[in-house]
Amino acid sequence: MVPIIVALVVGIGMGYLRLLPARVFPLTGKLTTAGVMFLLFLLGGQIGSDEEILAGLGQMGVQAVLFALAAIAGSVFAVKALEAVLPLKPAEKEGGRGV
Amino acid sequence: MITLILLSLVVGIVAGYTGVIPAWVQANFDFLINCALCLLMWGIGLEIGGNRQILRQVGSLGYRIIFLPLAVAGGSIAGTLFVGSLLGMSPGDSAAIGAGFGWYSLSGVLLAKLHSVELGALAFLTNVSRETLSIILIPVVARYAGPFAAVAPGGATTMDVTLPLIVKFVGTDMALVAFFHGLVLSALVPVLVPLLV
Repeated sequence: MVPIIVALVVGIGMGYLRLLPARVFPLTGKLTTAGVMFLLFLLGGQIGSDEEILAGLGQMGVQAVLFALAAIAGSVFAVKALEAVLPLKPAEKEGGRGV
Repeated sequence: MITLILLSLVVGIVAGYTGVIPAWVQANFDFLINCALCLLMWGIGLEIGGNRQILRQVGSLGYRIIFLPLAVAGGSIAGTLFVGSLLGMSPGDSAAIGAGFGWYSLSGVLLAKLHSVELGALAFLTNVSRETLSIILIPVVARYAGPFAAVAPGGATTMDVTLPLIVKFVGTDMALVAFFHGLVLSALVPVLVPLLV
């Protein structure tokens, strides 16, 4: 876990400080896509070689939808609660930009 | 993008099931995943840090706007904690699934590495569902709960996948808010998921 967080923080610092040449920077998007694909391939490999997980995928799908609906409902309620305490306004209607 | 992601996962499942993954890859699974994950996190950091101009413009929204992604983070985790308790799952596992905020690829691979393949698979499916359900629910939420609530369902995806939808249903004046909201939540995923699990 520590190397992962360090890699993230180093990345944020390098991105913010523009440490990469402009020519190289767009390539990092492709790099992360390739990284995600490789990791998902490995995750798939682990799922595929484990018969218990394969058999449980259907039930897992139902749980996943319940989790997703609860996360959405919870976040909508939290925003309504926030708005009740602290009124929010969209950008253009704020008036007095840069305040 | 979603096609590539699903394809990678399916090819992996087939490869794992048929056993065509070479022995040296299997023997070094952990090492390979660590390398790829560090590389991925570095790239994600670069993209987050590279949004300097946008972070400056956010000043025009007022300091209050930071509470929007924080409320959505809290609400999402509270929601999955609730469902997790009904399903008899540990609070840490349930909270980590919610802290994916719809970013299925990252939360899935993080939890597969840090916890177990099962939890990684569940986080992947949950957050794919969150993105898909958001696309369906954003127009409904926009109509009945207002513009700020309409940003909530999308979670981390409001800076890319669901941004056009939010703009379409609540107007262009919410574009910067939605982008900022997605950016903050995206930055929170790689921090909160390892901390919660």
